[in-house]
Parts: sequence; C-alpha cells; structure tokens
Amino acid sequence: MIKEIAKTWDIWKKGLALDMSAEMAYRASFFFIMIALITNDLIGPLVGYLIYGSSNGIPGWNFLEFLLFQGVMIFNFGFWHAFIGGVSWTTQELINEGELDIVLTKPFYILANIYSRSTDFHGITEVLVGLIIMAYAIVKLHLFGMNLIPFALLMVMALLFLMGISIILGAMAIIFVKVGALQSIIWTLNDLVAYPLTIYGTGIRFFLTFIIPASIATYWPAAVLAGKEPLSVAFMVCIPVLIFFLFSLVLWNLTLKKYQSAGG
Amino acid sequence: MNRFRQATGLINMNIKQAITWRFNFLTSLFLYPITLVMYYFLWKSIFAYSGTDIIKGYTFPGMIGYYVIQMVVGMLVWVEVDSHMSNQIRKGKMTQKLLRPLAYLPHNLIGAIGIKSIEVVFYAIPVIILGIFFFKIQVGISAIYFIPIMLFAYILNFMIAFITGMLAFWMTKISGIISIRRTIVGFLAGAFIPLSFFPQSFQTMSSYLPFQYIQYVPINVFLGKYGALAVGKLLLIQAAWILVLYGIYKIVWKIGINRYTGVSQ
Repeated sequence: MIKEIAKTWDIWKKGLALDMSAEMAYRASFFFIMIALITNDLIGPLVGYLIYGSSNGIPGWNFLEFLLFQGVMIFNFGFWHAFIGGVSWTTQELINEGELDIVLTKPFYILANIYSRSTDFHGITEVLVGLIIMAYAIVKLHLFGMNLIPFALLMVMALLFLMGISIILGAMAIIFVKVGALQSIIWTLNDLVAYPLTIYGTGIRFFLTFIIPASIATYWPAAVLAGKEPLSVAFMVCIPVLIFFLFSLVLWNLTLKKYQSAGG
Repeated sequence: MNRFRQATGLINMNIKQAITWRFNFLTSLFLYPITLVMYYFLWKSIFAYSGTDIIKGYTFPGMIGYYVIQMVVGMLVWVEVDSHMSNQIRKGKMTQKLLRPLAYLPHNLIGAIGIKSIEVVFYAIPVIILGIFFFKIQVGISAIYFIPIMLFAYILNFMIAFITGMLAFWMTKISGIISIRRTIVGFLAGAFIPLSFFPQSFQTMSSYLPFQYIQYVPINVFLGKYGALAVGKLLLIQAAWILVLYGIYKIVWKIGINRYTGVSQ
C-alpha cells in the first residue's frame, strides 16, 4: 500500500513537471490568465459588498462572515480547478482520441494516472486568493477557537465531494463519449451554493446537503467555523459526502468495464 | 444584390454550424434556469431581511425580471470573435479569411448574426416564456424598443471584442486577456448586479463609458424603464460609441495587419 502511494506521488510529480514546462512556454499568457482568474474570483466578494452596502444583506450573515463564506468557496473551487476537475476533461480527451487504452495498459491505478495528467497550474492562483480572503475574515472575526478542527475536516470533505463530481463526469464521458455541455453541471452546482444555504427553504437545503451534497463545498465549513451550525449536524453532513464519493468510484469502475475504445 | 447574397450565404452557413451544437443549447436551456432559482431565493431573503419593498429602484419582482432578462441579454451579446482571431493569427489561418471578398470585420460580424438568430429562437424566446410563466415578469409594449437597442448592444460588444482580438497581432496567446475583457465588461455592464447598486460616483463615471449600454441599458429598456424619447437618445449614444470604436479599430488594424505574416507559431 505504502509503495503504491509513493508511486502515485512520483507519477503525479512527473506529470506536474511536464505541465509546468508546457506552461512556461508562454509566460506572458500565464501571467494574464492568473490576472484573469483573480479578477473573476473578486466578483463574488464585490457583489456581496454592493449588496451589503444597499440592504441588510443575507439573513444571519454579516459582511465579514459572508467574506469567510466566499473565501471557502474560492479556495475549494480553486483547488478543484488546479488538481481535481481536470480528471473529467482529461478522460474525455483520452476517449475522444481513443487513447484511454494506453492508460489502461499501464500497470497502475487508472484514476491516479489520469490525475497525474490533469493538473492546471492556473488554479493555484485561485487557491491563494481563497486563502487570503479566508485568512482576512478569520483574523477580523477572531475565529481561532476549537471550531478550526471540524472546519478542517469539512474542508477535506468538500474536496472529496468535488472529486466525486469530477469522477462521475469522467465516467459519463466513458458512456456518452461527448460530454462538453455536461461540464456546465459543475458551474450550475456552484451557482446554487454560491450564497449561504439560509436563503433557501427546507426542501432545497435538504437536497443540497443530503442528496447532492454540494453545499459542503461552501456553506458547511464556513457555517461551522462561524459558529452558525451545531457540530453534531456538521458531522452528520459528512455521511452523504462519503456515500457520494464511494458511489462515484463504483460508477467509475463499472463504466470502465464497458469501455470499448471506439473514439468519437 | 451580390453583397446581399454574400451576407445571406454567410448567415446560412453559421446557422448550420450552430444547429450541430444543439445538444449544448438544450443542456444550457435546462441548466441556466436553475441559476435563476438561486437568484430568486437570494433576493427573496434579502428583501424580507431588509424589511423593504424597494432596494435601489427595484422591487422584488423587478429584480427577478432583471436577472431573467440579463440571462437573455448576456447570451445575445456573447461574442467570441477575439478567440477566433487569436487562433487564426497564431496558426496563420487568417490569410485565407483576408482573401475573401468581404472585409474581415464585416465578414465576422455578419456571420455572427446567423448564430444569434438561432439563439433568439432556441434560447431567448424560451427563457422569456419561462420568465413570464414561472417568475411572472411583465412584458410591456416597450419590449419593441428592445430589438434595435439589442442589435446596437451586440455590435458595441463585438467592437470591443474585436479590438481585444487585434492584440493577437502582438502577442501569441491572449486567452487571459480575453477572459479579463469578459469579466470586466460584464461587471461594468451590470451582468452580476444592477448598476444602481454601485456608489453614485461610480455610476456617474459609468455613464461616460460604453459598457452599461451593452447589458444594463438593454435590460432596463426591456423592463420598460425608458420612454420612446429616452430610447431614441440611448440609441444615438450607442451609435456614437460604435463609431468611436470603429475609429480605434481602423487605426489599430492598419498597424497590426502589417505585423501579420501568415506564419503559424
């Protein structure tokens, strides 16, 4: 097991170095894409600022708490962009070209191999923007208590959920060959959880927490850290995330068996 | 007449291309209204929490109307001419386009109208109908003014994108710059939140810039916030901005095209 993990790490590092050298071929472009991502990430906090400047804002959340929420979201989706999301489009690319066979013949975990080809460095900028906004809000709100521990746990859960979604989209690419438009599912989910769950009624809250637990990527970590939700509920929220993640792995393995390498 | 036939041919070609992507259209038609649901609950809770009927000139139904129509306007003014230009310049493929009988800019502009006409049928009209039934948006007679305003808004955004695209004469990859253009123009055009939420000084500054005429003004024209006279004035301002941008295009194109070698990089 340890040997396998070490090997995964090694492959991942090699993939990373390859991607990095490709990026550096166009340095000016790399720089502008970074600026573009930062601009894009700042829209959410800016819109929040304008909303809070013109009204009482979102029920139960003051502006600083909302910033914390935004920081969590930008960090998680940035991490997804950098290290997780690529798995769905890499799979799709490999399938469209009929090249998945090459990966299948490698004596190694297929998913780990695909991950090693799927890093997008630009996403690291977003991870940093998220970290800075989160840190600012945490310092301003003096949130240094014991809640940081469940917060960290929920952040890990958030990444597991995003991983699950990407693996499901990758699996869909194996079934349907072309899934370009399905990628927008992730953006729609992001939109749905772009503001605290408290804006919704019980039905949608339940759906986004227990059926498709997308709210773990934004609401739950921020709400627990800001002391807005009891810890007992927060731990309960982890269960659907774990089920969702396991489901994605099962689906991946099932669809891989059906793969016919036709290309498309 | 010959020119007319060229133009209709181009439009037809682009309609055919757009139809082959119908799966994308269907998915977005299904997914985008979900975002509207989020805006509905967001503003419902903000209005309730603030205990007021009007925020910055918008009632709750007015605000939902704003987001529904923004979705239509945002889709209709969406341009990709800068990414096409950047690809064609980088791969040396612009040469064949330059040899066409119609000049490069009108060729692209007219071609895009074909795609837009498909989007009106498959996207704009369904979203407006959804908006009327589910979100109870009011469509008045002023919606007629929306058509010319929208056409000018599109040309305005097209010109901004075209000027951005010309940067590819000097730089190999401009995808980052294109993305910055999208975000900043969108934000200043009121794509995320109505401009009346911005500080007063910012709104004053914004009235001297072309961006609000791309989304904020067309949306509010649709929602009936302007009379006939005001719409006439807005059209004139849009036309003036298009002329200014056309002047910039002429100058930059003249310098830029001399740098184009047709060799791919």
